[in-house]
Amino acid sequence: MSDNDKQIILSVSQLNAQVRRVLESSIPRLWVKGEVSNMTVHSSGHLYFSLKDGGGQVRCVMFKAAAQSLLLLPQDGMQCLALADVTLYERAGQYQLNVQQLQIAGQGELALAFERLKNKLFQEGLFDPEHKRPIPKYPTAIGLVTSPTGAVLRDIIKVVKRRWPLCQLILNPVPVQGVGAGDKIADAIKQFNDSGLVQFLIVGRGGGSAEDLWAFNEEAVARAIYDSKLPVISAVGHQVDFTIADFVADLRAPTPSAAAELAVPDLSEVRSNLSDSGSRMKNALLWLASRYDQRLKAAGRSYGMMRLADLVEQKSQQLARTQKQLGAVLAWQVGLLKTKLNGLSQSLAALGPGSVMARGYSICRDQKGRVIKDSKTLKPEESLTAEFSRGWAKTTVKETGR
Amino acid sequence: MKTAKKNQPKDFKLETALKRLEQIVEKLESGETEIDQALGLYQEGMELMGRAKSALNEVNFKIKKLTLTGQGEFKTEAMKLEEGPDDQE
Repeated sequence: MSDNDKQIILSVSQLNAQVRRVLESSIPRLWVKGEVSNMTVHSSGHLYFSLKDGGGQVRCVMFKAAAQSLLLLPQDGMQCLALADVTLYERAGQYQLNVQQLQIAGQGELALAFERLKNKLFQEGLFDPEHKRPIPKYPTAIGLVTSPTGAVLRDIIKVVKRRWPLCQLILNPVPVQGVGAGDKIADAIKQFNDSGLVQFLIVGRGGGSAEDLWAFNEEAVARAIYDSKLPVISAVGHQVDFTIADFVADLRAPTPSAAAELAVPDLSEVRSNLSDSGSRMKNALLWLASRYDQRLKAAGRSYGMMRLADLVEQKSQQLARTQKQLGAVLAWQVGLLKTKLNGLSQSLAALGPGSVMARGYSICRDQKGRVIKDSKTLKPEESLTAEFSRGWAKTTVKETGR
Repeated sequence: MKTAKKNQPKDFKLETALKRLEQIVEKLESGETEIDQALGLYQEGMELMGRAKSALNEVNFKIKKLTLTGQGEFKTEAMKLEEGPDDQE
């Protein structure tokens, strides 16, 4: 070894540490612009990705503490601005950026990402109207996927309590913004499906910036809503805000309060409809009965029935007349019979023997009791009985003649 | 409330009952039923109405929280509303 070769020998670690110090001390914190690629969220919460442009790329890390302030996770292909410190990842001997802030470079990028996902899911049929299911009308349990602290929850509770207090609300609390919120929302939707405890879901959050609402534009949320067997009402932001979740949901409400109004009927309305049904049934029945009555009367007015009625009328009049006549005839005959009978009894009385004998006539009978009307039937010495008006006498025939 | 629930047949569903009731009303109002059929429908309708009315009296509003037990079963527990700041709005 020459003197020239007598240099300090560094270990790789020492070298890397030295390069790192040089890099860190000579390059101040700076803004870098580039396209995000290979975005990975580590389970630790750190983000790993690359920034690149046409000429090259650089590895980036964003530690959990910094990543937590992100409203949305930049997706691959998005132009971003990173505020970063240049450093060296000693174990790989690779220089990298330690990112403190990460911004999407302009709203155009967000809009682009939104349209890209929207078109993709549309092509796949996630927004198809045929896939939309009806929301059960009279729910007994509704699942809520939203923040436990936001005004949204209080608004929904207020509306449901006022309109339909027959219902229970079950909250599956989730963060509704920030990195990872989308996955948690998707999980909460799946959990409700597995639980079998509710009839449908309201998924949402209050209004905010496009970045605030971004979780509801994430593919995981869209797919969870599409895969949900329970119908889903989306309620994100205010009126004009449309998210991907809104397109996939079975029903889109313009605000969370409106979602609650759409989700439940009004109890007093249902009650009055019910009593309406009662009176409608009564009226219908009465109307039916009166129509039957009219029909009967109308049937009575028909030609056939009129003929029949006439016939009946004629016959009954005839019958009455006949009865009258019959009565008169009977009465006359009875009267006739009576007079006849009177006369008969009078003549009978006159014909009876009593009155004749009272005038001095007598009746003679033979021994068998037969009245003797002719002397020729008598023989001499025959004994007869003579009856008088009063008393009788036994006699003997001496002689007969004419 | 418990006695009211007991009086309801287990398969009673408000939605089904109200749907059937609406059918009955429409059928009666169509005037296309014979009088004895109409009487049967009316009777059925009044019965459904009675049941629905008592179901509507079961006011039972609650807000609960979904929780997962260690065994992977879902349960609900009572929750108190947090009066936190509206960090979302």
